[in-house]
Order: sequence, then structure tokens, then C-alpha cells
Amino acid sequence: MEAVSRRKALTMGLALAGGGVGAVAARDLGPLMGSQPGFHHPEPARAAMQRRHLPNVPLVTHEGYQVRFYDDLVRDKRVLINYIDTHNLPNASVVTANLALLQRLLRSRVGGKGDISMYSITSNPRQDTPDVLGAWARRHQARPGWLFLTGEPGEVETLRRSLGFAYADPADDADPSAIGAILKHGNEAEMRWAHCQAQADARQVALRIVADFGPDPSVPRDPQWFCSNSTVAPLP
Amino acid sequence: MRQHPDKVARRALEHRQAILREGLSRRDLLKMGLLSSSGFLVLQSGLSARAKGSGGGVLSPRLTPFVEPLTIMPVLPERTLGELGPTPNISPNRAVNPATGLPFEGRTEAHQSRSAYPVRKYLATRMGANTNVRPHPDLPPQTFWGYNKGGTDFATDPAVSPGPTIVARYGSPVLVRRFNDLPPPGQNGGFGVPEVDTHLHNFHSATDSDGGPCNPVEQRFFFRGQYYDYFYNMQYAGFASTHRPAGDIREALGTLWYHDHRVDHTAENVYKGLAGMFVAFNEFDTGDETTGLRLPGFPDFDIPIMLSDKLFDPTTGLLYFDTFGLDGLVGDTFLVNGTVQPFLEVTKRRYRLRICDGGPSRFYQLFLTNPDNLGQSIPVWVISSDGNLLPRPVQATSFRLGVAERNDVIVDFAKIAERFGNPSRIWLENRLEQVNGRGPTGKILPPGQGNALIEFRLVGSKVVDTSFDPEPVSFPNVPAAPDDHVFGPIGLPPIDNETPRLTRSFRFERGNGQWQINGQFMACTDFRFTVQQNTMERWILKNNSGSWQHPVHIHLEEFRILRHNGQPVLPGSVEYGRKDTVKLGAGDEVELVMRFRDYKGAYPMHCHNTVHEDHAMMLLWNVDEVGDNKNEP
Ligand SMILES: [Cu+2]
Repeated sequence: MEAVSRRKALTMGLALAGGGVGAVAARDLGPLMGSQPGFHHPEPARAAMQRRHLPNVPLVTHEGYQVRFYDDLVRDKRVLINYIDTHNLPNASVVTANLALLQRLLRSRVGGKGDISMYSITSNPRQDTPDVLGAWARRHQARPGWLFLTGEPGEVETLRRSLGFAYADPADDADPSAIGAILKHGNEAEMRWAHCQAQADARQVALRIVADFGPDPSVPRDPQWFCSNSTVAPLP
Repeated sequence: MRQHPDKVARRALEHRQAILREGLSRRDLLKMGLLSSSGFLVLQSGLSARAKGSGGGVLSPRLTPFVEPLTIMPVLPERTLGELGPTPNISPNRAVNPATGLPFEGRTEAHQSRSAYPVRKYLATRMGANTNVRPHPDLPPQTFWGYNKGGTDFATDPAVSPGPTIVARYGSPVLVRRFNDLPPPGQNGGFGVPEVDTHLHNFHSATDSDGGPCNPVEQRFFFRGQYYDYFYNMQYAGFASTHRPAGDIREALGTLWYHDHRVDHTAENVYKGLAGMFVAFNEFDTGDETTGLRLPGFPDFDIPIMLSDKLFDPTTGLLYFDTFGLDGLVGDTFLVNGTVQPFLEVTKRRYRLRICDGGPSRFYQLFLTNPDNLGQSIPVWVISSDGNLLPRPVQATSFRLGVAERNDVIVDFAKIAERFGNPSRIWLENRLEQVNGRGPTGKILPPGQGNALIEFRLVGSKVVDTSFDPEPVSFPNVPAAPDDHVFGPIGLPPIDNETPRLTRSFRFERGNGQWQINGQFMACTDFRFTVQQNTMERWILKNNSGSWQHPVHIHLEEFRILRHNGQPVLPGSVEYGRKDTVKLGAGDEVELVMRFRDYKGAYPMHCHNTVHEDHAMMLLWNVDEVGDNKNEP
């Protein structure tokens, strides 16, 4: 921050609490710093997370269904989320093929009565229409439980930023490969979110996801369970 | 630094214009059947410039500094064996606890070396939530996670953060039983996962007690309702190889810290409070200023200090962490031992401050600033690198810490009073500018315009001080030489008496926005390479990741930096010491040598910007009787 804007910030009463400027201001501008911040009644953490990171934007699936991101796709669910641009080749193909492997490794946990949902959202909504995504899904043999999503570009962009598929560096932030580098997994009710590398070995990704989501809830839990090599069976 | 609100607004506007420039019309959208009921280009707060990775656009409330005193963390008290509960055996207690349906103990491996070094000190601690933390009187009471003193009731023995300081002595093996009593899933207030794994940073630990992130076959994190017995034999490196049976005194470690290392969730768990300091004494560095090296006495004048930068939600006043961000997280509010910008009343004498950068992503350049005379340049004496005593103290007017690095410094308030006009207060001030999680800009801010971390208030007149005075023996007052050993036998172990078995190179880089080392992703179940036990290797670490900066940490033994960007690291440098973390600045190349003694098993090397770490900037390597020869593993 330039010295000029720093002074301007001071005169506007926006002195920085974190720094020496704030500290100087405490002496020089006592009344400004002395004011008590008035905090609202704490918002439930889950609501705050939804407001910040999980906007309820409308989206369209590769099968043409209209959905709301939070209400229909994320709430109370365990989800895997990544961004693709099907026109950014070969990156999008590599990632999608890897996720197809991942879907097979997770077996019955994705689709049907499974506890995990997979979402691939386009970062190029102008070109990735529902029809384009439908063809893409068929080409990569996506099974039920894995949705490809597009939407009105402003909404999709809002969602991308809210979900943190974004970088401080403008070049990274405009690079569909960088945006598509991450596979996010989250358990919405538990407010538990983490990341894997979308191109990492699918088995490694599956292990990390199982470490977070726990073993298949439809199978009785082995008390000696812990996340190790044995947690994810090899591909059938 | 914070973005000026005008600037944030301007960046958001620019962004909006950029989207408009895309030239999308309503008709395009209608044709796609995608026009939302909320209309064209709905922009939410997520579009602020700050939202891009440095904390979701959160600007913490303004807080008056220096309102509360610095908290000196309590020492974790010794326990009797009986107080621990089930007997801590060398083998883990895998009996199933009917209350949880899980084994009592999370550990799956036997403790290495414990039969040769029986436990002489038992400690216990419980990790839990403390719902009544007040980092500042203007913030509402809120929840941090922390560690208690081992009592069974959090009402009388609450979890604190940083956790109680663990004080250990070389030669007296320690067992710490850590209980996971964290809240159930869904009760984390927005971040933090209730599985844990406690790493004792820089201790020469066996894999069973190292608290590493993952392992191919052994459990590394443990669940709510479980405990995990960590065994520290309190011997110097070399105890089972080059220097039987007690190890090499030149490998004495002094200032360590313990912190959560749950793979993929380390940043949020440490940020939420799961970290504490660990101090190791020996017959030279005794903690008593009348004996041995006579360093300032613990705990009155020898103070562990953990720095952490945080964000607080401006609406609720509650601790905020962005579990969705990728770049790293830089806070705008500075906590020191859990309190926002505390003050400390000091007498006019010497203090030993053991300063640790607790992360998650910030680098510090620390100065002493006289806020009433900003032109003064006040020296400190750096006596350790990463907590290990230097061969010769270094007199400096500032020192830099990356995440997880520690420097012990001697601050002499008597000399400050004499030489700098008897100031009433002195700040420990960070003057390194850093605006995002990628690394500092490198700009050193003018004095008084950085981040004041502690206000030392000098009280009383000069007191008798018989503690060690580093000034007459410090570099550059005295030339430094390779065989210096100002601190008795705790000098540098020789490295030129042994030829490295192998040179390995590691490129820390990005491929398509993903962290890689030598072009490969992290694998939790595979070793990248195997080091031969009890040998030395030369490792070359290169930062090929553009403007990103990384404090890289290697487990098992500390290393020596030979060259930094081709320049030899010379006596008199703070890097001319034993290190466990090295700052890889943009484009940096570091050449180091390291030994791998006494233990076998899997250890990690990783970036200690914990957000980068959670995004898999890591690899696992193995120690075994026979090593491999992979030069670029
Ligand atoms: Cu890093």
C-alpha cells in the first residue's frame, strides 16, 4: 500500500489493526481505535459457509435438468467437485479419464444408493452447453452419480470463485488447466473440505477421499479400520 | 497488508467489466436455456480482489494493540504412570474400546528404541475445543482447539492454544499420551477435522512417534476417543550408530514445536490451535542461568513465543479460515501465544526469546523498533537456527523466519536502556510485506509501518544479570570460523569427514496448477526413494515454481546448508547452523547435506506453508539398510 493511501486510510478511520499504523493510530487518533466493534449474533457456521462458499446458483446438468447448486447438489452430501473446460485439450480429457477411473474405484459409493456424488463443472459455460457436456460424459463413460454442469456464465463464475477454484495470480486464474488442476472433496454437513490433485493417480486420490469420508457406510465397519493401502480395493 | 476498500471495489468492477467484455448477450443465454431468474451476471462478494486466495475477502475487525499481556504458556506437568490409564506398552494397545468401537490406541507400530531407553517421564495431554477463548477483549468469546495439561475434565483443565510447553531433558526419555477429545464431526465451527497426528518438529523421532502425514501400511492419524502414545528417547542423533549410546552432543536440539500433521488438513488444524512449543535442555543448555552455558533462566527469562497470523470474521468476530483457498492464507491480525498483539513487561536485563513462525503461510522479517524513535537500529543476538544453538551467536538488527522456522534470540533490555535513550517501550515488529499466500514481496516496510507483534514495556532500573552476554563473542564483533563452538561442545558436527553417498535433486514446481516434485505428484502409500541408513547424502532443492516461495521441511535429522543460490553459506550466517527447514525463495537453489541415522521407515519432505502442504507439496522417502541410487527421484 502506498504511503498516500495509507494516510488516506487513516483519515477515513480505516487504520490497520494488524500493523504498526494501527498501533500509532491508537495514540494519535484515540477515539477511532477505541470504538468497540459491534458483532452480530454469530451466524451458524454452516450457514456462513454456505453463504460464502456454496452459493445456491442455478445450473443445468449434462442431461438437461435444472438444479440449484446448494439445495440440490451439495446440502447434506459428500461431494467431489472439479472444473473442466472440454475445449481445453488434452488437459480436460486426462482429468476426466482419471475421474472415470476414480468413479470405478469408489464403486457403489457413487450413484444409486451411494453416499458420494461427483460434479464436473465447466469453466467455459459459453461453449460447454448441456449437449456438449452430455456428449463428453458419454465419451468418457461416466456412470450415474457423476454430473457435468453448466450454467449462465455469471453464475458459473460466481460459483467458481466461491468454491475457491481461483488464484491470486491473474495468469493462473485465467488458465483453464490451473483451474482444472484441483479435485475438491467435501462433506457439507461436517464442514469438511479438502483437495486432491485431479491428475494424481486415481488410487491415491481414492485413498485420500476415503480417509476423509470414512469407509463405505453401507458395509459394517472394521474396528481396526484406518486409512492405509488396504482401504481401497484394486479395480475389479 | 489489507486492501483499501476503494481498491477492492475497483478490482471487483474491473472484473465485472472483464466479464461484460466477453460479449455474452441475453439472447446467448436464453438460447442455452440458462438465463437465471436472478438476472444477468449476478456478482457476489466472492469477486473481490482479496477473495482470490488470501482469505475469502475477510477483513478482520480493527483491534487496539497491546491491551493484554503476553501469555506464557504453562509447562505440561509430569504424570505418574497410574494417571495415564492403560499401561503404555512398547506395543500399541489395539484392544477395541466398546465405547467407540475403535481400538483404544491409534498407534499401530511398536516404539523403536524404547527397550534400550526406558521411559523416565510420563506426560499426558488432551486435545479438545475451548469455547471461551478471548484473543482480544474486543472479540467475543470463541472456540479454538488446543491441548490441556492432561486432566480428564476440560472444565478444570481447559485446552489452551498454543498448547502447554513440553520441557524435556536429554537423557530422560519421555512418553506423551495424547488423547483426541475433539468435538464430533459437524461441530467444528466451519473448519478443523477431528482426526489428529502430532508431529514433534525437528525431533529425531522414530516413525512410530514422528507424527508424519502418512505411511503405506501404518496408521498416522487417530480418531476421536482414541489416544496415541508418542515416545521420545531424548538421545542425540547418532545414539544407535556413530555415537552409541547417547548420541552426538553436537546434535543437541533446543527449541522445537509440536503441531498437528493430519494429511490434507494440517493448515486448518494448526490454525485452529493445534500447536505448542517444546523445549529440550541438557547439561550445558540447562535452563538455569547460574549453570552450564548460563543462558537466561527458564521460565522467567527464557520465553517460547509462537507467532500466528489470523483472520477474524468482521461480522461475528470469530476466527475464520478459508478451507477453499489454494494460494495460502495471510492473516491481518497477529496473535502471539494466542493473544492479539500483547505487551510484556520486562526488566532491564537479558531475555532468551524462542520465536517460532507458526504459519500458515507468512514469512517474517523481525526487528526491534522503538516506536518513539523510529530511526534507531537496535541489535539482537541470534543464538540458534531452527532452535539449534549456533557455533557463534550472530549480532543482527533483524532476522527472517519462514513458516516453522525458529530463532532463539537474546534481547538485552539493559543495553537497550543504556544505548537507546532509556525507551519505555520496544516493539517486536515484522516489517516484511506479504500480501498473499504465495510468499513475501521482499519489500521491507519502514519502521513503525509493519506489524507490531509484541510491545515490550521496560520497567524498573537495571538489574543484576549474570546470564551469558553474547555481544563480546558474536559475529561480526568477532570473526567467525568453521570450527567455532561458543556454546561449549554444542558446535557443528563435522561434515567434511564423510563423503555423501549420493546427490539427489528435487525440483519444487507446478504442473498445470498442481504441486509437483520432480514432475510427480504426492503419493501417500509409496516411497519416492530409499536412503541408506547411517549414511550422508547431498540434496539439491530447486524452486521452479515461479514467484511462489516455500519453506521446505525435512523430517528425521536436521541438515546443513552448504550453498544457497550457488553462494557458500559462510560462518557468521544464521544459515550456518543446523536446520530442519529452509526458505526456498523464488527461483532459489539450495544445496544441503543430511545424515539419516538410527531409525528406519518412512519420513516426508514437504513445504511448510501448510496450505501448500495440504495441496500435496510433499513426498515420502524411506530409510532402510540398503539405499537406492535415484538421483532425481
Ligand atoms: Cu510452499
